[in-house]
Amino acid sequence: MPLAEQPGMVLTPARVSQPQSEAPASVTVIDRNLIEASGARELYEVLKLVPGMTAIKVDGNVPTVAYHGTQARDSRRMLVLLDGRSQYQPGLSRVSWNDMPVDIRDVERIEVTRGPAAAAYGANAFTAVVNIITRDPRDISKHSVSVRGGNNGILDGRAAAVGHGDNSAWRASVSRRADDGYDEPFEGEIRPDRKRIETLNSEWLWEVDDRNTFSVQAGGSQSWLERQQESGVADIGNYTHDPVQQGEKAFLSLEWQHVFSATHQLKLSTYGQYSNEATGFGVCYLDPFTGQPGPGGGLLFSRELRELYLQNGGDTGATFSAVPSSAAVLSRYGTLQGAVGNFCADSELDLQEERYDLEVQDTWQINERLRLVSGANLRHDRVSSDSYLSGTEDNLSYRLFGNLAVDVLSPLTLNLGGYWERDQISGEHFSPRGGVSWRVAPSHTLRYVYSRAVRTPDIYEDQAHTNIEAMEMSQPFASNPNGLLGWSPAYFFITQSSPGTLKPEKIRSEEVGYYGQFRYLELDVRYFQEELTDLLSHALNPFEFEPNNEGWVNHQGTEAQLTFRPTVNHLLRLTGAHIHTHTNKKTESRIAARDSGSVLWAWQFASRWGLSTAYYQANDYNDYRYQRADLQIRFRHRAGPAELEWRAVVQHALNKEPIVFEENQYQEDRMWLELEMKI
Amino acid sequence: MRQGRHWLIALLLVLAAPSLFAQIPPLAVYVEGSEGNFRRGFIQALSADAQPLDLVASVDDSDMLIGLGDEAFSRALTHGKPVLGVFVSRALAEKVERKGCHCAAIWAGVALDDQLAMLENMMPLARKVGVILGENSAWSEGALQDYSGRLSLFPMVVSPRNELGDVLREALPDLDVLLLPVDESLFGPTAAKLILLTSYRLRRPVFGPEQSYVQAGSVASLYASGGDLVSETLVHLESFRKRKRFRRSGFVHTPSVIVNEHVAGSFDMRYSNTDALRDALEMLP
Repeated sequence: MPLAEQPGMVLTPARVSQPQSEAPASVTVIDRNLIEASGARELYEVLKLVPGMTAIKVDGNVPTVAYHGTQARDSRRMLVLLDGRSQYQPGLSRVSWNDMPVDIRDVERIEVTRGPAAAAYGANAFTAVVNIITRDPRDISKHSVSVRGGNNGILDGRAAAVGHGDNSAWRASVSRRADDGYDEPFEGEIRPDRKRIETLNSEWLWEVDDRNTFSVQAGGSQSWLERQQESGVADIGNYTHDPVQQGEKAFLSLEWQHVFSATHQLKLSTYGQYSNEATGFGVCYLDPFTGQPGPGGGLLFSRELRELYLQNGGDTGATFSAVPSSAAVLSRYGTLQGAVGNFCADSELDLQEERYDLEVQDTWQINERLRLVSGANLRHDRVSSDSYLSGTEDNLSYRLFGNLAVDVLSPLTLNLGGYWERDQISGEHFSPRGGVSWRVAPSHTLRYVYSRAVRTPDIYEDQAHTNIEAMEMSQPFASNPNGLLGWSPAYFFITQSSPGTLKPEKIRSEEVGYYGQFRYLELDVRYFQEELTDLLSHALNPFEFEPNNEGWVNHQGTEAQLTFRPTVNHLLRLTGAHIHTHTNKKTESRIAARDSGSVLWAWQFASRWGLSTAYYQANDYNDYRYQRADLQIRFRHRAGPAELEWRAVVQHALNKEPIVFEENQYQEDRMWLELEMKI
Repeated sequence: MRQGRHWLIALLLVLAAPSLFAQIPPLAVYVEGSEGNFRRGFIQALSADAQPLDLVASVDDSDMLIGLGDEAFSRALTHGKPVLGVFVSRALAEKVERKGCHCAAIWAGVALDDQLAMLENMMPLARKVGVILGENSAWSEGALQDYSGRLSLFPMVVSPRNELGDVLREALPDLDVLLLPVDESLFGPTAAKLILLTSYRLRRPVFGPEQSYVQAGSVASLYASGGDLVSETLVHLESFRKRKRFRRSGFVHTPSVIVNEHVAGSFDMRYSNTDALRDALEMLP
């Protein structure tokens, strides 16, 4: 049996299928049964079942998912892979959970490597790696259609098809999901946070012969999300229409696996992915002198105020202090007073990201005691943005990696790994990892792991040059921008530029862990110490921009996950984390909950009926305690040739506290009914 | 009254005297089976035993026949003499027994309870066990229903054979582990590849049905080795020689065990070595 097809419980930590007890990391596996038992309708939600993981909606409809969470909004310290493709976007170091081109039903399993794994995946596998593995078309037997409807505007649907040939198989799914986000209204106002997302995910797999397998994956997504008003903008104007983020993604991935022998194989994979996102908003700007709407609002988009801003070193306060003594600005203001009507304009935050990746990986069982996984990677990232970069920036990177597993003595396994990379932004880096697993008894293993990793600055952090353009201006500004604003196109006076000298963030981690199986239960315990240094802790957005590496965070704590199966019809799963966080920046501890955990109980109480319930708690996220209980009832039956499954789900907040920020109100129960038909 | 009882005992002794003092003649046995190493080895092993056996070269000289495998067993039955089938599919043996043959068989495979005991020992977390069943499988759905242990058994009936892929795809996600009975017509090399690859893609271990599957990638199996079959055959022959009737058909009572240590290790199974596993199984009731 070739190495890739050999059994094994986890394949993420060292890029090879291996028993969990020998993996050089703590791993949480969430398989399809657990995903279904959780009742989750969105992919990010199931990550609540990972000890130490934060998976919440911080900005209405935008999830934040972070392992050993630090910042609430800019969760950019965890790598997410979707069938081997990095979802960590090069432009703004984000993982866009909303429009990831996959539906939760397409997923076979999720493996979460808890702890740095840059030795296997390179920069940005910083605090953890989430590896999402979709279903193999060879393992699906039926077409399916499902619909889901509930309160708060929940309206989802999915259709999936599958086919099998003599040596090939394919699957394809299209899905749509929509909801209204927060509770409405909040403080008498409707919060703009509805969303609508469509995804396509497909795979075709061809077993050419016993030695060669070829697969193609393709897909994409379209998203429409209402976004909250930016407080910095709301302070200087009245929104004429709320921000709306529209996005589209596409990807194409090819993979070829060649088996030289039962102990040696090669994998060649390449993919390209594209993302185009634009957030448009309209504002009537206030006159900076009167604080009222009027033509004077145009001053904020005038050439003269921009020049004054630059003369004052990009300090907004100093710029406004200097306005009374600036003849040019006052003259411009006088010109604007001659115009009739408010100054209103639409603007857009745009971002196009492309990635082309080529990788070769060789897996070789050298002898009974020695296994080597090695490879090389070439990646080209390109980001274009008028608003964030004022142009296009590229980053070419080269990588070499190797992970060696040595069975030193029968109960002792040594794992050594390293990842060398060089990119145009950050130069050269090497991320090492060493781990020892000691099988103290059959099914009982102790491990020690030391690892280091880096998070390299993204293209925006390194090359930011923001410019927010006034588009679709009101009259008379639209017909005479040069005369009234002094330039065309006209830009908001504030512009931010990165110094281009930011260093990569660093993490050093040590862990002592235990993994064991008893008669009815499986237990994994981990004690860890993590030192995060050179952190880019401050805001880096077009309105607030403080680029420096002054932040640091220390995490120390214990995590455990336990699976208990007393009988065939019951599954109890417990997770818990206790983390002490120390930092020099308050923003780095916003979602660092000291105590967090989950309980999930699934009970098949009749052949057709199943019940599952889950409880989640975190103390605290930004001083707000998080408590939620979910309940799901499932009923299966046949109707002619079709198999039907009904699911009713209720998500109930157990306290009245908001999530992270006070506007995030989710006290009302969310509930939905779902019907899936397989044929 | 006491005197009457003495007379009765004396009478019984007189009647039993010929059989008590007469030597039971050796059993003349002809071994039916295709020429090959297995038949030669089997005959050699039987000859080496101290039991009074006369392994004859022709059917006509024999008191009874041994049929090695399904075909030889069926052929042997045509001679009208008592036949002991060895490594015969259970379905075939039961079919001819129902028709009233003077025969018995050592079934191919091992008892379901024995395989489950091993599985439970190596994989204590397992609860849901899928058992693939075909028309010629060593276990029937009835045998699964008779099981009274703590595992839940889910029959996965495959008929016709080309539905194996669909059955696997449909059932495996809800199972913890897959168990295969001996079924020569169902589990050929193509099926082995399909079963093992599908199961391992879904991280479900496979146990059984015999040693060649374990060598190909199944976790472990109890199996009837050549030695086990010879020992069981000798027990049957001795019984037949003494009582002129067969023991009940069944699986070998003391099967051998084989473990694919690499696969067992991959699934973090509770296993240190084969001897310890065998000891643990012998300790079971």
